[in-house]
Amino acid sequence: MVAEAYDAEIAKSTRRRGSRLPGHGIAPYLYMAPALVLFGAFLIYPVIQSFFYSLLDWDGLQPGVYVGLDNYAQLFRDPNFWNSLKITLIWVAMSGGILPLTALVLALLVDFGTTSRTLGGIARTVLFIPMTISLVAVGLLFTLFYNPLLGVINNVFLQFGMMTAIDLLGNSSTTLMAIFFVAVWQWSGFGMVIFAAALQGIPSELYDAAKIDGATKWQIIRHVVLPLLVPTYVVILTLNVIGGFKAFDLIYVMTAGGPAQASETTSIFLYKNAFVLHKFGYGSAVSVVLFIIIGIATVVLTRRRFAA
Amino acid sequence: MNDKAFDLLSRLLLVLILLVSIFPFYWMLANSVKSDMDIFADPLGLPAEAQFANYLVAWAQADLGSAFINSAIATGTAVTLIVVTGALAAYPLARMRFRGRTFFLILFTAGLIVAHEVVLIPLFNLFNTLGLLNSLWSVILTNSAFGLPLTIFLFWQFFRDVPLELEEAARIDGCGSLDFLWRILLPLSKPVIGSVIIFQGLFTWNEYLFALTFLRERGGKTLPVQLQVFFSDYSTNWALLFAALVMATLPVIVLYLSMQRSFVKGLTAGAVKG
Repeated sequence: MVAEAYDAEIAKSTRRRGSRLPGHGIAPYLYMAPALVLFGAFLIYPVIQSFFYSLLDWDGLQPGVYVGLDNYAQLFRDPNFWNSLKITLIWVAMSGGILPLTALVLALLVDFGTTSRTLGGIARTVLFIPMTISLVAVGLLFTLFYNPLLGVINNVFLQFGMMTAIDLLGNSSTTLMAIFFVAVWQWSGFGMVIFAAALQGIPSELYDAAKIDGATKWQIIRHVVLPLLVPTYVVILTLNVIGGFKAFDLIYVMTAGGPAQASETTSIFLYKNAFVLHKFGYGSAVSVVLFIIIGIATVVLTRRRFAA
Repeated sequence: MNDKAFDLLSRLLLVLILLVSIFPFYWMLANSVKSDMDIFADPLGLPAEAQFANYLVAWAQADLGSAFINSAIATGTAVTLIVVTGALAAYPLARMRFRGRTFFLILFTAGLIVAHEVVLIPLFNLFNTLGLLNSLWSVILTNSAFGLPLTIFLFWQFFRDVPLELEEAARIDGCGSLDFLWRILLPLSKPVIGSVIIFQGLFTWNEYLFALTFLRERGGKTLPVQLQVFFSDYSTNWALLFAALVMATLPVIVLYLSMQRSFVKGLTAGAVKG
């Protein structure tokens, strides 16, 4: 969304005052030089290098041997790669499907649900705290939380009369959900404040008019507020989907992709191939595929919003 | 649903959500001052008596001192680099006419779609060649490069909206282009600078993947990586793990609580603007 806001802005600014701006010779390039060096050397150049490295059979120590597209051929036959792609897509679907909803519910509860300003203020402050902590610390905290030896989850389930020890992270059918719950706990507050900003932008006359017509709070939310929040919803959905493709920290810290690859996203698959198995060429092929997938997702999502 | 029922229901729901949200923090704090035995016997309750010695032991065993220093150096240097180079680059992009202006704007912003994972292998190789593996410069330079797209965008957006008349007046008074940036634009952009410092500062402070990959020596790691190493080395010394977690997270939480508005504004700057 940044990209398109910015397309429009460029067009506007060049039209509006481009012709009045003074010419400056080489000064503009000098001003940009330090940023260009940093950005070029540590972001652009490595992206280009990834493409070349993906054509090598290379362990990172000996010089690489050119093998053409062999890495890609091998990659597309690798069941572990397809598994990682499946896990990534599940994670992305959960991020896009659930996080904007929880954020919306929080924002509505905080802004409409409570007539108490104190409760609203406390809620706003508290719900954003998890956002400020590193994914690593949050992940580690929740590994303790899920640890069957410490028994927090077991304690809760005992109350409901279940007696078996439960290891949500260690079970391949529940592990991804268990990690995703942590993402919900940490990230809902982020979307909440963005929704809250959008809610403040709704003119109060709209509410007053609805109230005069005898609408209840619930009806106001359904018929006045929700339709107005659709653009914000799309922004948050986009951010969460793109963020979902990059999921690494939380999952790597909590399960390192396990048990038996049940939570191995493509990012983790890449990291393991490169830095555990020392397959630098193969890992680079994964980088390129990931780069292309994220690129396509970004274009598709931001274009759709553009059209709307 | 009438308003009364709605208010009651939503208040109940909000309180419930708040409890779920706070519980992990309560749990972390309570267990950080228990003994391992107490944690095992009663993982959810309050401590019978507080053992603050856990903090001293954990601080030393986890080598948190050097981790804090490393993270502070890396974060401070990266944020300084990002603000200085970002503001310098955004200035001509917003206020000068030159060949390739649109190209450079698009190039910088396109950096937003590059994930850290994509450049990990080439950067590892680059730092290995340069002898910068295990040096804080590896995380400083990468975090700076990755911080630039959003930073340049935010500065550019702000600089662009400063009236041209102000610049013309300054020129007539003999103000050069660097003077104008330094004396007029930057003092005006304090809100943007604040947002950039908070966003990029927190991002670098919490960054994991680059630090995990490039910093592999004992004593040379940043806080998140050091914390994770401690967790795998001392995996059953529960009390120490909780104490280390508290010490690693509390500084940022306290900072957030003391300047909440700036934090929320800084962390959502990119999203709200777009």
